[in-house]
Amino acid sequence: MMRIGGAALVLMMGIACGNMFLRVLWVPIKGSYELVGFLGAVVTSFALGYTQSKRGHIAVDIVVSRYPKRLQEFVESLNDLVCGLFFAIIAWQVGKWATTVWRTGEVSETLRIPFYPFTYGVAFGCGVLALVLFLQFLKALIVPLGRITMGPYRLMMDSLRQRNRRKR
Amino acid sequence: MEGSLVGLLGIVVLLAVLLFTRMPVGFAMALVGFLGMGYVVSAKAALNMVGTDIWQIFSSYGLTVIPLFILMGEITFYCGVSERLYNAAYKWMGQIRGGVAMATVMACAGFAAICGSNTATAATMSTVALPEMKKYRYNPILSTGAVASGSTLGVVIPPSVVLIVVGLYTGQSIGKLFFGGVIPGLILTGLFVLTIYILCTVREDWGPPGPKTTFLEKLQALPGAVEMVVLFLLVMGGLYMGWFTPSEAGAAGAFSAMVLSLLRRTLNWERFVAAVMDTLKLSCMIFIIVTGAVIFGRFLTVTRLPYEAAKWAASLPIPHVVILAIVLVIYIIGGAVMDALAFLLVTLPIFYPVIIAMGYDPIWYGVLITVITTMGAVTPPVGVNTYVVAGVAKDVPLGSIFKGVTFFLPAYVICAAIMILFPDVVLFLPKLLRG
Amino acid sequence: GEAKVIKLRYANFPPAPTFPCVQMERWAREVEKRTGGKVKVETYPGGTLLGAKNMFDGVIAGTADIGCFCPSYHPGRFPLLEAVDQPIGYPNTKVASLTLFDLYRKWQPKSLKKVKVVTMFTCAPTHLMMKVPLRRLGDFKGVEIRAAGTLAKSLGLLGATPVAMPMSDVPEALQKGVIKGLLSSLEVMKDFKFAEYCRYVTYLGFQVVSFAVVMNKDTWNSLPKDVQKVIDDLSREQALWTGRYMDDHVKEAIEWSKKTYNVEFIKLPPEDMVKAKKLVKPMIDAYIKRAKAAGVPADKVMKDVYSLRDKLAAKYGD
Ligand code: NA
Ligand code: NA
Repeated sequence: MMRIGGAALVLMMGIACGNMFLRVLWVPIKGSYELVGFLGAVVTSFALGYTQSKRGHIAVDIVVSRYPKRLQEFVESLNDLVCGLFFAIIAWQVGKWATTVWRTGEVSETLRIPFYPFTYGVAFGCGVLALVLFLQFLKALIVPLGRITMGPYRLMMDSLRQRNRRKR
Repeated sequence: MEGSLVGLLGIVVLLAVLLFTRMPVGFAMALVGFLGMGYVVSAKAALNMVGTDIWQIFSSYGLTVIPLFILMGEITFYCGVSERLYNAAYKWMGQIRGGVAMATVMACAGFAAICGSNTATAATMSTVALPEMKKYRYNPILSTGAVASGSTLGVVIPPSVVLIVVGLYTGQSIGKLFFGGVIPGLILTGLFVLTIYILCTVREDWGPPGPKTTFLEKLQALPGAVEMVVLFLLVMGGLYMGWFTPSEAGAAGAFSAMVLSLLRRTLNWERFVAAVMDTLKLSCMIFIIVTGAVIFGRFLTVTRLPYEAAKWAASLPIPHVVILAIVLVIYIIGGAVMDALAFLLVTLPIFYPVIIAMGYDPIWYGVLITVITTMGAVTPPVGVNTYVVAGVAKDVPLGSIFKGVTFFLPAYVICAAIMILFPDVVLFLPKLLRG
Repeated sequence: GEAKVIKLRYANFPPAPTFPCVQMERWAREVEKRTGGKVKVETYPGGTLLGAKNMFDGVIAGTADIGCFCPSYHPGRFPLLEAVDQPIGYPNTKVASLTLFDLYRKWQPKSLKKVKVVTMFTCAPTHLMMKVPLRRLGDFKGVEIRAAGTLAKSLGLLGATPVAMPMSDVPEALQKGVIKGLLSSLEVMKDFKFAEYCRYVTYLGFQVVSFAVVMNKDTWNSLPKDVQKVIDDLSREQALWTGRYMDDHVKEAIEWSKKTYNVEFIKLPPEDMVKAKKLVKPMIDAYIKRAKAAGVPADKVMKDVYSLRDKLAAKYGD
C-alpha cells in the first residue's frame, strides 16, 4: 500500500515536472492539473494507515501526560475506538460519494475520464485507517485483559514452580 | 439554542477534547465539526459533508504543493545537501562566540528558502545541527532553542505552507504573499542572531568559540553550499519567471534535488525510499489537520458565529489599531494552544473580512499573522516545532527546550512591531512584482 | 399569534462580489419582501458552507436549503443542460439565460428530479481577453489561452492552445506570460482588473457557462403554498433580471477598460467568423452523440436550443 502511495508521489512529481518542461518548450500536457490532483488523493489517503501506525499525528499532551499511567492508557484506547468508528463512517461516506460519481456518469473536466476509481481509493485509505485504529484499540485492550485473565494461571504456575523447587 | 452559542460551545468542546483526551488535532476538529453539523442541520448533512469534503481536499490540485515541497526537503536531508550547507556556514562563523548557533539559524533560513514547512525544517535542522553543537560543548538550552525557533523561519521565508494556505483561503496571490515574507524572514533571522549574541555574552559558557579556520578552508567549504544556492535560484527564479506554478515548483525542486544528489552519488535506493516514506507521513499529517479544520470551519460557518463575530468586532466603537491589536492577541493565544496552521484555517474566515474591511492590506495582514502564529509553533502547550526538536534531542528534557525557546520570543514581538510600524518591509517586494 | 419566520440557508461558491452572488442577494431581498418578512434568507457566499463541486449533493443532503451550482463542473452528469453550453453563439446574456431556463422548463431533465429548481441563468457570452492582438483566425495558432471545461474544447478547435488552471493563478500567469490571454465573460476585465494585463479583446461570443439554483426537495415541500408561489413566480423573472444585470455590468466593464487602459476591441472579419463557426461544429456533433448515448434525445434538444435562442433574440436581442 505504501508502495502505491510512494509510486503515486513520484508519478505526481514526474507529471508536474513534465508539464512544466513541455509548456516551456512546446505545449502543456492536457489535464496535468487534474491528474496531479487525483494522484495527490492517492498519496495522502494511502498514507493514512501508515501515519497512524507510527502515531504520526499531532496531539496536545500537556494535560494528559500528567494523568496517572493507567488513565492515560484508558484515554488513549478510547481515542482509538472513537476515531476508528469515525473513520469507518468516513470510509463509508466517501465510498457512497464514489458510487454517486460513478452512477451519475460524471467525468473529469479536461480529460473527460471517469475518476471514481480514485474516489474509491480514498475510501479504501480511510477504511485502512479505521482498521489500524481498531487494531491499536484492541492491542491496548488485550494488555490489561491479559493481566486479569492470565492472573489465576500465573498463580498456579508460580505455586507449581515453588513445589518443584521444594522437591529438589 | 441560538446558532452562535452552539458555535461557541463547539469551540469549548473542541478545546476540551484536544486538552483532556490527547486526540490528534485533525481528528478532533473533524469529529467535533461532524457532530456539530449533525446537531445544527441534520445527520444526513453531516454524513454528506465528511464524505465529499475529504475527497475534495485530498484531490485538490492547490494542496499538492504540500507533499511536493516536503519531498524536496526530505531528499535534501537524506542526501546530505543540508548538512553540507551547514558545514560551509560553520567554517565561516564557527570561531565567533555562539557562532555555531548563529550559523544554525542562518542555515535554517537557507533551508527555509527551499522548504515550505516548519516541521520539515525543524526535523532536518535538528538532526544536522544538534550533534554539531554538542560536539563544540554548546549548552543544550541554547542549541535546542535556536533550532526550534530558527526552523519557524520555514513558513516565514518563502516557500511557505502557511502562506500558501493563507493565499488559498483569502484569494490573494500566493506569489505576492511569498515575496511579502522575504524581508520579515530576514529581519527575524537577524533578531535571532542578535538574541544568540546577547545570550552568549551574558552566559559565556553557553556558546564557546570554535577553532579558527583559514581563508582557504573557508573557500573550500563553499562548494558545499552551491547545491542549495542552485536549488534556491531554480525554485524562486522559476516562480518569478513564470515557468511554473507553486505545485510545479515543488516538483521541480524535488526533481532537481534528486538529480543533484545522483550526480554527487549521495542518493541511493534506501535513502530515496526513506525520503518518500517520511514525505508520505508528514504530508498525511498535514492533510488531516487541513481536513479537520475545513470540517470544523463548515460547522462554525453554519452556526453563523464567524459572521456575528466579524460584525461585532467590526462594529466596535474603537480605533482600527485597537481591533487589530485584539485580533493579534487572539492569534498569539490561539497559536499557543493550537497548531498554527489549524488555528489560521479556523480563524481566517472570521477575522480576514474584518481586517480587510478596515482597510488594511491583505498581503501585509497575511504575512503578519503568519509571523505571529508561527511563534505559537514553539510555545507551550502546542509547540509542534519544539516537540520535533525534542524528538531528535532525546537527551535534553522538554522543560529545557521550552526554556531555551522563551529567550527567542521577544524577537517575534519585535519583528511584528516593525511590520506594523513600517508596512513597507512586507509590501516593498510584492509591489515590485505588481509593477 | 405571530407566525414563525422561515429561515432558508442559501449557499454559493464564488466570492461575494461576483454576479452569481449579486443575483443571490437580489433574490433573497425579493423573497423577503414579497413574503412580507415570512421568509428570511441567510446567504453563504464564497464556498464557506458548500464548495463548487459539493453544492448539488450538499443541497440534496440538506446542508444548505438552496444552492447555486455550475452543471459544467460535473461533466457528464447533466447531459441535457450541456446543450446550452455548446458554441452556437448568443447575442447577450438575457437571451442565453432565458434559453437555458425555457429549455429546462420544457424538458424537465431527470438529472434534476431530486431537487426543486429555483432559477437558472448563464454568464455573459465569452470573448477573448489578450495580451497580444488576435485580428484574424490565423493569429490563433498555438497561442496559450486559459479556458475551463467546455470553453477549452472550442478554443482548441479554433487552433489555440487551451490551458487549464485555477482562476486564482490567472493574474500571475498572465503577467508572467505563462498564458497570453483568457476566454471568459468580459466583466472580469474590471472586476478582477484583467485590463491591466490584457489590452486587446477579440469578440467571439460563441459560448456561455450555465448556472442553476436548486432547493432541497423536503425544504420545498415544507414551505407554505403562498411562499411556494412567490418563489415560482420569481423564477423566470430572476433569470431575466440576472441576464439584464450581467449585460449592463459587461457594458460598464467595456467602457471602463476603454477609458482606463485604452483597451482595443477587435471584431474578426465576417469570413473568419463563418469559418470559425464551421471549425467548432464537430464539438456540437460530438455532444449530440454523447448525450444520445446517455439517453437524451439530443438532436431534438439542440433544435430547441436554436429555435429558443432565435425567438428570444427577436424580443431581447439588443
Ligand atoms: Na520556507
Ligand atoms: Na504553541
